[in-house]
Amino acid sequence: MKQVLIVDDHAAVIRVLRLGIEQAGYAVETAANGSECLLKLCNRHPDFLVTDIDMPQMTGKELCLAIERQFPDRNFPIVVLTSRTEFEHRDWTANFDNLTFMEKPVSVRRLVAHIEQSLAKQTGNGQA
Amino acid sequence: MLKSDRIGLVIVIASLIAIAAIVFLVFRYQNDDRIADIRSEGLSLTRVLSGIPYRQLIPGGAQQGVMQVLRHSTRNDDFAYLSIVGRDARPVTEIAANGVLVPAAAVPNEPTAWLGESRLTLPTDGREVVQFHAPLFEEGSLQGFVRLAYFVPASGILLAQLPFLAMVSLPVFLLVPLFYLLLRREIRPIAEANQEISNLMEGESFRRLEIAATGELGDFMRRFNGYIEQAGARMKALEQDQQRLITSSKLLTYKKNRVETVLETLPEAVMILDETGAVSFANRKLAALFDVSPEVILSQPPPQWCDNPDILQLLARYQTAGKTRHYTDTIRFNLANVADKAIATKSYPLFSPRSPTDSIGTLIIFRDETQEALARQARADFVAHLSHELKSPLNVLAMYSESLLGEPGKSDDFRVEAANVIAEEVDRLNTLVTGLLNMTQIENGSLAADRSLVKLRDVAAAAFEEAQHSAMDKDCRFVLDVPKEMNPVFVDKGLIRIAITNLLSNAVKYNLPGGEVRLVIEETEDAVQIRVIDSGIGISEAEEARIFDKFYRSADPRVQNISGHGLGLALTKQIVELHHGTLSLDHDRKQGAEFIINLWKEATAVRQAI
Repeated sequence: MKQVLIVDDHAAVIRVLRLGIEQAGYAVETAANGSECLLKLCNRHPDFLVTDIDMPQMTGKELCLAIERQFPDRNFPIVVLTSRTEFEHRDWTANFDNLTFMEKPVSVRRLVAHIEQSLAKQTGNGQA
Repeated sequence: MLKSDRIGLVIVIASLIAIAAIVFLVFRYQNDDRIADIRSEGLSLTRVLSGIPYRQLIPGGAQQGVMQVLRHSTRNDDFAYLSIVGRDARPVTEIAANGVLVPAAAVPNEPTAWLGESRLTLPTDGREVVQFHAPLFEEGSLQGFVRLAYFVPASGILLAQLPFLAMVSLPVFLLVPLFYLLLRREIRPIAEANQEISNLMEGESFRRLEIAATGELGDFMRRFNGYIEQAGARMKALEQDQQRLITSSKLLTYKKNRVETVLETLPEAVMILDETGAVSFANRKLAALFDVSPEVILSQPPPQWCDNPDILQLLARYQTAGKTRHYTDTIRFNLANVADKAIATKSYPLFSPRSPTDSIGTLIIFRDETQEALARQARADFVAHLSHELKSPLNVLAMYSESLLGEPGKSDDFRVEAANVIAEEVDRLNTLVTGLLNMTQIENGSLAADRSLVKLRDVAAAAFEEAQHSAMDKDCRFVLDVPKEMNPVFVDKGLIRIAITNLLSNAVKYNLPGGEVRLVIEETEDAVQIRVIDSGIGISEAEEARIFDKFYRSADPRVQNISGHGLGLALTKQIVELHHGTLSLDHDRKQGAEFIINLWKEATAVRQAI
């Protein structure tokens, strides 16, 4: 079963995302902030990472930069949930592969569809 | 005076020279006269003797008498000798003056030289004589020669002439003082004029010379005074010109100072370039911007005092551009020495007031846009915060409503959970929007404090009870310490309640389990003090300065884990300031936090008096 790691400081958000994603047939792992997520990444890489941008201790941006630095051979896609998707708020991801933004308010259905699509594409590529 | 004495001396010397010349000329004249006499006598006597037959002259008998007669008829003073010699020059007979030895002399052979004269020197005393000779005949044949000699007149005669010379010199001597007096009289006006001119030069005044003079000197004085008048008039005109120049220079200096004062007083840094692009003025603010003195900017090329490539490029453009080119664009940059300052330059061409098409330079204003840049940044931060604060609850609402419609919505448990979450988020949104509205209204000045005399005790008690109620599920002790009797205060009841509620809400939120929340009100002579004290996590020194900023939330995870927008303290501070009070933090507190609202009674009193 493919694993999705959700990083958000808001318990209600984690709860509703977990419901939606688990229902789609994925295992869900959660972290309350960036540093907790990095710790979990040291043990195991998920198949997909969903992270909020504004979190205490380590923000989503800091988390992504740390992942890029610590795990340059990362092969799991990342979705960043953010309030703002204008260019100046995304320019720090110019050199990132396999990273997309999803603007709040987020539809769980669309997020799950995106996860499925990304993972299918990845599997397709892997098979090719 | 010394001058006229010298002239006198020169006159005396000149007169002495004149007298000497007269004496010399008189002596020469008399001497020549005597020599002429001697020659005339000598020649005539020798001719007479030559005419007498030789034998009659030979001595002996009566003939001796002829010689003697002749001798005594001659000038006694000058006679030297008279001698008859034979053809062989041998002396036959002679008569000589006392002490004179007749010198031997050859006789002439040639008949042409028989008659003549010659000068000889006496062997005895070396005196010079003039000798006349003539042939002597006896019946037509030459028998011998007669030699007659006179002394050449000597200077001895000068003494004899003394009375005559004195007579001649006397008038000259008498003329000298007369001359001198006349001269003194003539040069006196010149001396006076000289003195006057000296006085004028010392006194540095400029006026006519009042010297009485006639003739050439009078003419000279008239012309001189005319010249003085002309020069005086010219000088007066020059002085007037000078005065005008001084006045206009003072005026220019005043105007220049005024302009420079204005330029110095401007809040912006100002630089003026002349038409060649060189810096002709820099105010102190500009110098401070580059951390040099204004003199350095004026006297040294830009690279010496500026290392910012943007400014150097800007200044270089004005140095290379022709008169007709102007740049009015704005350049923004940061200076190396004041990196946290944002500077914007704006250039304005300066046109000559007389000829509006002629550029006489460029005015460059360096504006410190730090505040604007900070404000821009603050606005951007505010919008970023706001969008996050608004979208986060919206996000939760969207997710839950979507989930309610989907599979999870079939579960009763989920529906209850969703209803609670939605109610919580709606509440959160409401608090945010209300806080924002209040703050915006206060900031815009549209929310004026609607003051009335309020019993602060009642307001505080209501806020206290509300806080206590909402924290029912928390392990927290509440203490209210408000005097029973209090003078009513002149405040906006609603706003003051919001302020107290915000502080109490923070005190509850950031408290520790088993902690205490204390609301204390004290009335002093000039103020009413409302203190909200908690025993919670407290505020670090580093954060003290920022806790009243909008949307500021501590990075402390204990704070981050608690829901909040960072608006409560900012709003409370604005409400207190709207009441001319102060909101402060007790810095000395070791544990927990203590916020103090000070409402000045003075303002209350003033308002009541009105």
